Amino acid sequence: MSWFDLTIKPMLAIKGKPFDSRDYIFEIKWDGTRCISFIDVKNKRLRLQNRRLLDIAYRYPEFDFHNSFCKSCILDGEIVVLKKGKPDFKLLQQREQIENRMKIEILSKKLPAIYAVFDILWVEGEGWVTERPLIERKKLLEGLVEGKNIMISEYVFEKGKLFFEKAIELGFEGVIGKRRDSIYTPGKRSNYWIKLKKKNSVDAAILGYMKGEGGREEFFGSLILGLYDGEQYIYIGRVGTGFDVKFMEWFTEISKAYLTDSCPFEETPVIKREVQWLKPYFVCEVEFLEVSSDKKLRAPVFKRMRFDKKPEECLVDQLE
Amino acid sequence: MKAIWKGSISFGLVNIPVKLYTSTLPKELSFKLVHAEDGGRIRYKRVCEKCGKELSKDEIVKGYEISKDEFVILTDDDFSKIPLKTVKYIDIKQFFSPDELGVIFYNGFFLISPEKGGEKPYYLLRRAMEETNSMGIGKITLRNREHLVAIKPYDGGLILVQLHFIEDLRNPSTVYGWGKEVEVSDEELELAKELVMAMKKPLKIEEFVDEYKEALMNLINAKIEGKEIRVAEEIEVSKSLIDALKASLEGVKS
Repeated sequence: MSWFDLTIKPMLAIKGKPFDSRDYIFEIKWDGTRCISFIDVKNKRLRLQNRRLLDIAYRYPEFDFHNSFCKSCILDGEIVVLKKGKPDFKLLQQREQIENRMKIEILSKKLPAIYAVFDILWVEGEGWVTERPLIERKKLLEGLVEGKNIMISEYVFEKGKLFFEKAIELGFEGVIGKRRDSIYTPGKRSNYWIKLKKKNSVDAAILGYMKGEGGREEFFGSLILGLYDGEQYIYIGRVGTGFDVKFMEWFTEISKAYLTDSCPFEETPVIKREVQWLKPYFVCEVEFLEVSSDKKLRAPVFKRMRFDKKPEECLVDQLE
Repeated sequence: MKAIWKGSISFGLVNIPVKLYTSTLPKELSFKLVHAEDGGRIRYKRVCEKCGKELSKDEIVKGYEISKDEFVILTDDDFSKIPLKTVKYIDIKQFFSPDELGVIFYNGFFLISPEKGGEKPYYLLRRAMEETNSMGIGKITLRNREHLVAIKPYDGGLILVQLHFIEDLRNPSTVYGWGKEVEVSDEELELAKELVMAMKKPLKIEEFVDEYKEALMNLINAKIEGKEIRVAEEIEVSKSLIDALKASLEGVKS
């Protein structure tokens, strides 16, 4: 198989608290869709692969930076839609769920995306560079990344705490600390990369919903959330805020194909009102205040859908 | 891309697990009805003509109209009494030669993809049908209705052809002029044939585009023109934010 057609699992990060360290560099945590890009200069083609290893280039017809590069390469980065210079996930999401080619074309002009590049895995002339220290890989990016709709994610040395504080002040969602001398480990999560986020959040599987009441009668009241422990789903609570009527209408519609009568939890959670179960398919990010002693989310707020993640990737260890 | 049906094709003792995909892409241009004044979406209400009451879904049943306003009522229970066989598999009853089946029976196409473990028998069936110039015929249940279908090799894969039952087709000879032989001279026929041959060339189907759709699309594009966002500006703003961030770290000892 040619390098262009490989599937590569992106390297992952663990969660952590802001810290300072001479061994680490710090950069913005770009809030978008993770994407490995394959830039083929010779044949003038571009392949984009997401976390689920699916090809997504057709969604971003505005990307033509592969025509500006002078060397073929494989890059890692995040696709974002910027608003006032900061990534806006809600805007990006409008781009993500559309299959209609005309709407893709329209939205590529109305909400153009940008590829924020932060790593390089392979480059023409050098071959694979995943075993080289991060700081060397970062240097390779300079002078290589060229074109519209693309930018390099810049970084600072050492001062993680202050960088985090200032980044949050400016309205970014978080920061990621990366070991200067670390190699690129596809699909693996380790302290080579540590994400520092503004709020507690968890990616959970949506395994059902409560029938709505009052103004939500047609839709649902709250979403039932679960995490996977490798064998089964564990109930972690429900989320009933953070979405609007538009979302409820949309979710009620798209979830129709996944309705089921059987409870996806090994132990049926005690829920008094009427419940509609869903087969494990949908994943959402939920922010919360803290985890209660019985491992339920306190004050959860729905943040966004995560179509780039599979339900069985929503592991219980996120709450540890 | 989502499969619309999962099941298997069975013929003889062979069973091939497969998925079906639609062969056409979703319609590109569709419109929603909107209130001209405020842009609100228009909703339909189900209202009974007789009593004027707005009805919920569980108050509505299907009626077969025997004569004007006289219905035979069929409930979900009634429908469930009709046995539907071949639920999750397509049973191939026989193979036959494609030219035995008129094109008028064709009623839509689906792409067949083998499920994991079905690749080999799928390939075998495809090759066997190709090399014997055959298609298979059987039945499938889709959306609670039984359909007559055929399986046919096409362009490196297998397609499922949904067929009309013979009773659904109009007899063409009921159309005026059908099957009628008219006297023509050899010269006339030669001339007509020449004309056809002069216009005959290899088909490039991609040269035929939906011009109405393109015009409509341009119209929509023109209406949203000016609302485009300039990416370069956004990147500039983003860079200046990061520069400010970096600057604020300088001179601070950690």
